[in-house]
Amino acid sequence: MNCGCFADTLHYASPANGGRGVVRTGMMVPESVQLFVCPFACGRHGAISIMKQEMKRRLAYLYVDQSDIISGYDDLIPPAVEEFLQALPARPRVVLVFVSCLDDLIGTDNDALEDTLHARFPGIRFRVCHMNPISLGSATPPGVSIQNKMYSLLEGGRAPDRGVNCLGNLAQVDPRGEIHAFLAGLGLGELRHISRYTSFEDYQQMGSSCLNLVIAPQGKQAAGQLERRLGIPMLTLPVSYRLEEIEAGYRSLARWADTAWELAPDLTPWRDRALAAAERARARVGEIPLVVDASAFQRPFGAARALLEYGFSVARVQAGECIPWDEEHLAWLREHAPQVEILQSNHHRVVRFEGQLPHSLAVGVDGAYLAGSRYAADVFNDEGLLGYHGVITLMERLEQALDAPADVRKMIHEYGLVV
Amino acid sequence: MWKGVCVKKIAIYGKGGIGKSTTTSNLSAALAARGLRVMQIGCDPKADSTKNLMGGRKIPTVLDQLRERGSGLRLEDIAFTGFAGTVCVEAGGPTPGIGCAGRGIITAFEKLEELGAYERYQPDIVFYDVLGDVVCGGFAMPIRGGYAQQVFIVTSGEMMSLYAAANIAHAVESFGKRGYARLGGLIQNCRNVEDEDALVARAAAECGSRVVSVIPRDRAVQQAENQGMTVVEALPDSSMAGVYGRLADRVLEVAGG
Repeated sequence: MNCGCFADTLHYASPANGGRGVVRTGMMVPESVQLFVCPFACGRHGAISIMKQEMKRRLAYLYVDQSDIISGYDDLIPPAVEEFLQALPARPRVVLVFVSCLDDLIGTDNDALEDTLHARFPGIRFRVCHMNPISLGSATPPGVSIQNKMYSLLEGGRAPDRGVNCLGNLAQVDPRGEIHAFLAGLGLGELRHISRYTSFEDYQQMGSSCLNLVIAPQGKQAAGQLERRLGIPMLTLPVSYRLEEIEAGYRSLARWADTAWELAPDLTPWRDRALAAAERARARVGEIPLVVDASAFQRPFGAARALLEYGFSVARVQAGECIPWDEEHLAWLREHAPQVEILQSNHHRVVRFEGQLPHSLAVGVDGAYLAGSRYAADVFNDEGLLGYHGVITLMERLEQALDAPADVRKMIHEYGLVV
Repeated sequence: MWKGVCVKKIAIYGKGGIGKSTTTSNLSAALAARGLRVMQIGCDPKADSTKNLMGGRKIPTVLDQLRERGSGLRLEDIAFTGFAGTVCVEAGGPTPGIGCAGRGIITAFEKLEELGAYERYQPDIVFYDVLGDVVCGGFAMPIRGGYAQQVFIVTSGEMMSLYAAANIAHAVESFGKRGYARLGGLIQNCRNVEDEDALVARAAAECGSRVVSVIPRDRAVQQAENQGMTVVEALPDSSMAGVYGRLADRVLEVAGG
């Protein structure tokens, strides 16, 4: 179905649908555990996800029943935390208390709850988090809200240094990428990401950084909060696969560092390598139609535009929505590439599987599932990808995808997706 | 949470039909007529709190507009300018018989914050006109941290009204332990019940509070409402306009300025 827009319909969710989810994302906070407060059925998805990640010892559930819902359950949480702590081998530094959408009806006073918990369990940081899909479409959906909470744990107070935080993305940028040397060339320090820290103390290093680089939209609110609270400025540098956007991003970074572009590290060799990788992949992929999917890219329309500009044959872009950061590219596609099908992956009619493209190469597991693609490139949520190195990696993955038929089931498992 | 804006935030509670909206609207009108920037937020699913500040017109509610416009909702869709520049908002509620009115209030408050309503209008004083008893978390929202600093309860000498007042006072006391809103006092809206002054004064004392003002029963209120106005607007020289003016003085005094 070439809807060209996003209709508000009954949703279809494929087995390849979804991302890391708030539970896995929150688990990146070092030395943290999570207590979920919800009716038991609401815990299923997170529990399976965390079992698959072998982190189940860090997760506990306080199941609430009808009478708890009627009377409010905030007084049940401190004793539940107490029991959870008794069951843990070591005292955590952080407890994330998750409430479900049910709490949006109950209206628990979460500020007061946090105060109570902090007073009762000194030395442990508590954050009340929401797992509430009803906030999807609001300014603070679950993926944004959890990052706000994660970075609210940065306390500041250390001597500022030249480190740079990377926010929004859920995995470290590949250490082989040019961004690291570029930052060094501007006199900036290491690129810091929450996932690399194993101790809460070390994680606090991120509170000393001089810049928050927001490379995915889910981190923008958190960056704004860090700017207000700790005085760390922010710069938006969305992951892009278009050479001109990549260069524009680096130029803005150099400007921020007050370095003339001519004096900044020369990225021409990287640009040339990216272009060569694209030409090589283009030659190998040939006219095989590509399915570009939002499970692979934060900005699938931007990625599709990039691939079209490199000369690939993009047949379909698949997404559940178009985020504001990607609207410009959707508009470009509609004007310059109207032949590209835009498939709303959560549209109720998708379940008919009428638009399969069995000879296609899908970039993104959900795209591969719905299209029944013969090939699938291993790219998930832009993870690890940024800049010219990101383009090179994407092109390598396209080539690698042709080496063997897609194994979508294996990909779903490896990405830790839960239906 | 809306914090850091220097403004007085006052919640007016009371049993349904006791005259909260009439009292609150006249308070808003009296203060706005003095040149203060006043915002009145109706927190009642029947959404008629601000009607008499809007020339008798019921304004679209936050929840109705949210249902209609979704993420495209703008501040202009939910905040309307009434008598003497008062900014009027109605939270609204669900279709009668279904849904959750308390959640409606929470959603409306969140939306006002998200759209930066307080920063945009920079009110000197905000009145939350809240329905009836504190029956759930949603209706307690205006008492909580970051919202009202003072709560006034409108009551008559009728038993059900006093019973509701006692419940509200109890909720305010519970929240007060957390450093939230404090009970400013009871506003006696007379129904000419026998021995009314003594009954309300005793109820106030039992709540550990006081009667801050007595509003007599007067035809002027009905006359003004028939014109879709507050007494302050329709009959500015009447004795009732004077009563509301003095009530405004008392409320400001209790609220600290």
